[in-house]
Amino acid sequence: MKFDIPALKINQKFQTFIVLSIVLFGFKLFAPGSDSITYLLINDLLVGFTVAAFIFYLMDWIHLKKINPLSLVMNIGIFTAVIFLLITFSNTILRGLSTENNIYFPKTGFIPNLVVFVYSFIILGSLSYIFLAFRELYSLKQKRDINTYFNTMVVFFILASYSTLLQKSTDLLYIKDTFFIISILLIIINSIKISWIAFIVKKEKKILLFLSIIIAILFVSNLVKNSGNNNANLLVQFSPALNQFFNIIGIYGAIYFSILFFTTLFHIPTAEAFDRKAQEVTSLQYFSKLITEVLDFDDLVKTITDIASKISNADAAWIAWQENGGLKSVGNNSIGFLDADLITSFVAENKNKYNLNETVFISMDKFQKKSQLGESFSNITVSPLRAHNELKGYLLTGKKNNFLFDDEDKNALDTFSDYASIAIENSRLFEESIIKERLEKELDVAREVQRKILPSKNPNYEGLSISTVFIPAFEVGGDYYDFFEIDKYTFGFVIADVSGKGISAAFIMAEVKGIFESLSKTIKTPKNILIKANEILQRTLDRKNFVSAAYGFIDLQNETMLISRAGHCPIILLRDNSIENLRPSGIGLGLNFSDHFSNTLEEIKIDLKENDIIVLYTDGITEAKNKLLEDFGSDLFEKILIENCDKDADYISNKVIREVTLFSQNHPQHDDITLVILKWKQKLKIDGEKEWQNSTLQPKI
Amino acid sequence: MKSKNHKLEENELTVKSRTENLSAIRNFVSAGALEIGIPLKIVENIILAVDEACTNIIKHAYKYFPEGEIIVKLKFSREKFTVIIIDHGVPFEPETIPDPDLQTYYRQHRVGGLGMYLMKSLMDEVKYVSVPGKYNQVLLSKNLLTTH
Amino acid sequence: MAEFNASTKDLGEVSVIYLQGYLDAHTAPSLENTFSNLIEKGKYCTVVNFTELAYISSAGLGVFMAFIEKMRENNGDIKLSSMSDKVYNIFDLLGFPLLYEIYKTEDEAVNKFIESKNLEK
Repeated sequence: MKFDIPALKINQKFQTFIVLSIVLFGFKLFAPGSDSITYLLINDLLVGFTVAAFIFYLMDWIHLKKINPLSLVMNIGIFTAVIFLLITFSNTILRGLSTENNIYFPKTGFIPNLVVFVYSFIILGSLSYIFLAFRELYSLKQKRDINTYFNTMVVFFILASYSTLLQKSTDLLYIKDTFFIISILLIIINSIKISWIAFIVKKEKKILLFLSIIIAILFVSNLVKNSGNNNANLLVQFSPALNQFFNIIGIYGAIYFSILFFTTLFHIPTAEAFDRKAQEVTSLQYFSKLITEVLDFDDLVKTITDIASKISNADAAWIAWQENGGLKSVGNNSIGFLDADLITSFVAENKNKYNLNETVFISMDKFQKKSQLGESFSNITVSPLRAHNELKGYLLTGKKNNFLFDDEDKNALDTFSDYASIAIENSRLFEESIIKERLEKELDVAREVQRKILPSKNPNYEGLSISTVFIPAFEVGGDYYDFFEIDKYTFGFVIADVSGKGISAAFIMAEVKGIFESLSKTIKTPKNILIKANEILQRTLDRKNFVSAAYGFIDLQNETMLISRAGHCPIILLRDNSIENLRPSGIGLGLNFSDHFSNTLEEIKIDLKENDIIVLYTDGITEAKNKLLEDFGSDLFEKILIENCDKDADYISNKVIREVTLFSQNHPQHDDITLVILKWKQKLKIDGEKEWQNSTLQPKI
Repeated sequence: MKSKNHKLEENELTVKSRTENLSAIRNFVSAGALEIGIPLKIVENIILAVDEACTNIIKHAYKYFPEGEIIVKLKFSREKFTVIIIDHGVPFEPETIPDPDLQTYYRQHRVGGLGMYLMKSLMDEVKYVSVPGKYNQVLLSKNLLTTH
Repeated sequence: MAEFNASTKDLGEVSVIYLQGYLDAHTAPSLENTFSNLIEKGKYCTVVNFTELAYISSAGLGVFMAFIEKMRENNGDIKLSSMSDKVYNIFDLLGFPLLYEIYKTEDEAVNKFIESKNLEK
């Protein structure tokens, strides 16, 4: 089993500490005290390891908790006070416990040993905590990783502590002194720059001023007492190295808190301003990277929130993005989804209260649901994100533990949110351009398909003149017409409109063409062709798609026409200056696959007369719109046809198209326009006699 | 099944980081999702994604440490159903795991990453955030309006 | 009630594993044991019957990944059968049908083994 987890390591460290303590106690109890260097070395190494074990244990604990600087200072104060009390009353306590009046403690006996042990351990524990607290304070808000300085100092602390073992020989005393002095120098160096002060609020600075002077005094008095009091003797007896470590920490404390006092007192934001300048330079590099590189929206928002929290020294940042009429939290940086959503909705509810045209600070004190937050966010900033003067969302940052934002943060965020807006807009445009490009490619393909499907030239029959006009819509509407020269005397024609647009419509058109082409060769009546076509389309059309069509045969020999219609516009027969809309009944192809389709499909037969004009069209003509969104309409269409019925087919179709174009100028064509005009010119009989007869309509089911 | 080591609140479940609790997590999520009328087919996908996320947490965030906490929260609106899973383990970035290549896995006897791929395929949104030293959250959400 | 159970049936050359219940990270080790036992006994031709499997997660799928090569190296295979649509969809989502032979019924899968053994002879 792999129990490899921090919590468990903590336990292991604690166990190590306990075991070492017991060993140390046993050693103290049973090993005879001596001044020999070997004894002292073993003793002090044991003490050293115990301290180390305890420090490592505490280290995880402190890291887990992430305490803020003020409470760290407070804790140092408490432990210093504990030591202070311990030293002050040690005389009384120890004298009371001692059977003899000898405060130079006997080295044997369980109880006395235990007392010394406990006494030393309280000091040892307090020292460990103070040491670690210094370490935390040192690394707090450090911009660069300069742990090396601190680690060097620790090494010298150890060297200085252990070199006290050499003090028996006066020749080597200088080693101890050297290490001690270097340690003090390093302490001073490491104490000078206390950058975290810049990040706390005025009220806390006042408390800090008060605390630091008291703690500095405590440290100094501990040091003084330690050199004159029992404590020193006891500690020296317990472990000379620990005693030295006590002194070093005492000096560290005295120096650090004195400096802290004066820094707090005279703290002027010059250092902070300097840091910010450096930060701004790096931020500018980020900005340019942001605008040129990151184009994926998810990556982009993460980068933006990352930079935003850096430049405003915030604990967390996120973006409230406008989507579907609401605000959605995206790009969360160091803030949970729930917290971000809660604060986002608070901002959304109150957006009218604040002037959100620029970065504003909002205190979370006014937030009723503050207790529901997982973490104690105390202050937030909200900056608008705009593209083309349109509000797209907000960039939010938050600080915890009562840290405040200042005007520098506001300026940084104001500038940055402008950059961020541009970057977001760029990424959006990029995505749009990809989509647009893909759509255009698709439409190119669709247009190409359509172009290849429609007949490239009209068939040439004696006695029949044919005129066709096809105007594709930008998006490819799915219109289709075709002619089939079955034999010398039989001419087939079809006009169809596929539902839908674009590439899908184009593919259905291609299929429909294939179906009609093959059926035209084998089946002799329009009705049966449409029935069969419907059957075949059942396999390929999905529910949403259907095809309207009209199919006809003209028998040139017998001068008749057979027509069936499946849900298509009526077929116009223009004869003797009047219009007849031929409307054989029938459902569109692909809508019904039962017998109902064939049962309702009509086929009509018409005897053709000289100058009969047959007009096939799609709704692209009658539904062409003008800028008032009025339809071109069938009345106007019929009027034009009647007015020009004595002209030839090409003239009529040109005229119709010209009128449609004039009508719908200033309004984009949104569907294909197809017009097919067939004009029947009866062959002149030898005697030139013309038959004028009423045509007979014969519905056949 | 008896519920052990977990407290049940209205929209929140807290369990220890043990694989034996996966079934309790699944039951909790599926009950919550079915209650608001999400179709069973979609609920099945959601609980699989949640199972994968929690398995990842047990394996990678807690590294099989059995005493960690896993908190599962449900949030729903008309548009979407959201599950947020919180842990206090080691930060683990599920988003950075590449989609699996089964052939390579076959050769290497590996299976990691399949779960992440499943989560991404089954849900509309898979997001992750780590608040250093505090917690990690995985957000899984399913749009309810677009799925039929 | 146990959440998951894997029982084995010995058909001579071919073994059939019947899965029942919920196969997840918690129950996957149990299936691993079943496979390990088969390998110990030198049984490399396995049909897994999914009829009664209600649920599978990637941890469960991982078990098949872990043993397939071992089986195939020894001239055997893991063939899957009788999956519900729900379980099949998950296998499909991860591209498993490319790696595993999946059959509608247990008999089909068993017969496939027998056919290939006959061919060898």
